[in-house]
Amino acid sequence: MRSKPDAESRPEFETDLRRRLLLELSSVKIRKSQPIFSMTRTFRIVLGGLAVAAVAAAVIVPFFMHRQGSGTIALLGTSTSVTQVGDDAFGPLNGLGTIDTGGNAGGSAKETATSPASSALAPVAASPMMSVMASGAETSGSAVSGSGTASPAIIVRPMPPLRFPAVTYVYKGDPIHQDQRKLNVLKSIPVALSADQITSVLAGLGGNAMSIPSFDGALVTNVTLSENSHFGYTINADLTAGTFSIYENYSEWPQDNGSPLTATEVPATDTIIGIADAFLADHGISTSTYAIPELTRQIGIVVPIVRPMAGAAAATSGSSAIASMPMIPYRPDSVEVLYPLTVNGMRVYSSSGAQIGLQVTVNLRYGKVSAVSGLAVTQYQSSAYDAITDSSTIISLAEHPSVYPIIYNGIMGVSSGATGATDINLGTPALAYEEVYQSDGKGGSSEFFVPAYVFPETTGPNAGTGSVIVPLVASFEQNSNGGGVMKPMPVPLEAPAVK
Amino acid sequence: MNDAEIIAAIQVGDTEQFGLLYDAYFQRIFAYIFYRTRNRAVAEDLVSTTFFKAVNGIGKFDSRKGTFSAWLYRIARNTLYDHGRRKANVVPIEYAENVSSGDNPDKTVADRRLVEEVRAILADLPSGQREIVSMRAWDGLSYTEIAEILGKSEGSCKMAFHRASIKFRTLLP
Repeated sequence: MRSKPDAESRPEFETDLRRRLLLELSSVKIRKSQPIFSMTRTFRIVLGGLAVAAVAAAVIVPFFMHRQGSGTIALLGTSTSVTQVGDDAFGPLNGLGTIDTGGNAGGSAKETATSPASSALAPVAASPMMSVMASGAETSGSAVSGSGTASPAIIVRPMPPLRFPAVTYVYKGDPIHQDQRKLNVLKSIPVALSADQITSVLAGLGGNAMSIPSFDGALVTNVTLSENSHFGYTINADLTAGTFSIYENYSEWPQDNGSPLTATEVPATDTIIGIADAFLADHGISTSTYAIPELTRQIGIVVPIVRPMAGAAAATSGSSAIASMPMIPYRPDSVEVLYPLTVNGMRVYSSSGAQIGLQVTVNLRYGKVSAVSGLAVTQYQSSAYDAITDSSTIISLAEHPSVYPIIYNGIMGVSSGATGATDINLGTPALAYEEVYQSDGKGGSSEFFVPAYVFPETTGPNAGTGSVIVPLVASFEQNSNGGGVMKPMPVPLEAPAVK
Repeated sequence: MNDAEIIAAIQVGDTEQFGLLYDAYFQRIFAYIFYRTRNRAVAEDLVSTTFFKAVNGIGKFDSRKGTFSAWLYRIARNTLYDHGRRKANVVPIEYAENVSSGDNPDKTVADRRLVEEVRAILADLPSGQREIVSMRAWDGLSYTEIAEILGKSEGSCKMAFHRASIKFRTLLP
């Protein structure tokens, strides 16, 4: 017994799992013979363009299992179906190019002479986003009355150019041993629901099977339902792809013009997640295939107020001006709760390092869920592909990611003022999937989950949240689409900087 | 209330009662999985999977056909096997290694040496016997439960453990 290993669990994990399990049970009516739908709300069905009137009397998003063909399709997150097919079955997966596994993927971490990191500051063209400000003194057309009161005119000015400090990634983790010569790539298979399933879904939603006899053979491909009540929702179902989204029925939600939330008006993280949990449970949406939920962005971080500079200053570098600007706390009206997707026990990341999963938007002002995205019927095929086993190649790929410049999570345009590159250390990676899209040659694209190493950033402004993703399948290169572009925050209208 | 009564209550809609089952079995299932995966994050994922499977199947559970405990352990065991098939570097369930060697500073030097010796002896045991020993010694399961989980007779489980204990007494100082 003295040799018995210590196995203490984390109290927060135990508590959170208990809560999720009870929520799961509360949303599923127990029957010994078969699972059941959860029906809690009333919706009015609106089908644009079709002369069919039906009044739904039951909840959206029924939660049930059906058999189709040779496998069981789990609807809406109860489990994932993975079918193994032959090696390299999806054809050549070249992405944006190929990786030379002979070790030529990159030089040493400090070879910055020819890399984008060589310039200390990478100037970005003036943002097309304009700031709109009222000025009483800078418009020649303003009319000044005898009393001195000017009629404000609108001046549109370009934002000052944003500059991003260059960075260099340096691996500081444990030795890497990736010795699996073959790794399974998953291909997402769109699930087109059968006529029976569509009928069942609609029957579950409305209590009446939808039939359109005057359109014999017509296949329902998309359904939109709207709840025309205060704080009602709109649900969109793409029945050919098996995806669902829920969002606020804008005509039934207040349009906010309020001032930013104060610190006391922002609920605690646990409360926010509880709101998301309760909404999912109320509507029979299982979270069993997802990891513990988390907020995707920290509330209350400090960001600079970016304003246009007047006169000559607007044409020059804005880095030092930005650095000296006053800071405000970031308290958005809505935050996103992410339930990270897990497949085969591994998490899934986009190429920019963000986790993929079920996203629930919570409106903090009203304490309500305003949107849910990422709901889908999940089904995959799995095929083994040659893997990268050379650790030096893997590390080199991590230290020279194709996503550039660096996304500074929640922080906009802050310049360190350094003239040289800044090192960002990377820690020991974890195995996960990278979500990659590839054109199918027919105008569409296929989604793949590629085994990858996720290297956490351990230093720098994204320490603890940022990461670099390195796919381990030899025929993939890191996908740079959409990465590295800073999304400007809304610019508050305020008094002119100069009169 | 015993497990069968709790399950009966759950099956007629009193789902909150599942909390009683969870509180009674969580630590045991966590330990069972943690001993065999040697990784806390993996253990948490597998424990979650185990309990969600139990939640989704509890409507069909028939107390007349077996105990809830054995059923839950079988789910955990199958979840471990599924995980082991996917991960080549996961320690097989039959090889119950010491998961805390070198990690716990509270362990004395003598304890750590004992752990190594126990591990070596365990490694020499046939896989089925090894599993019975670890379930009895580390998971604290009764012979009845072990027999039910593994689908063996209670007598054969007792005999297997008895033979292993003789070997331990012979080889350990």
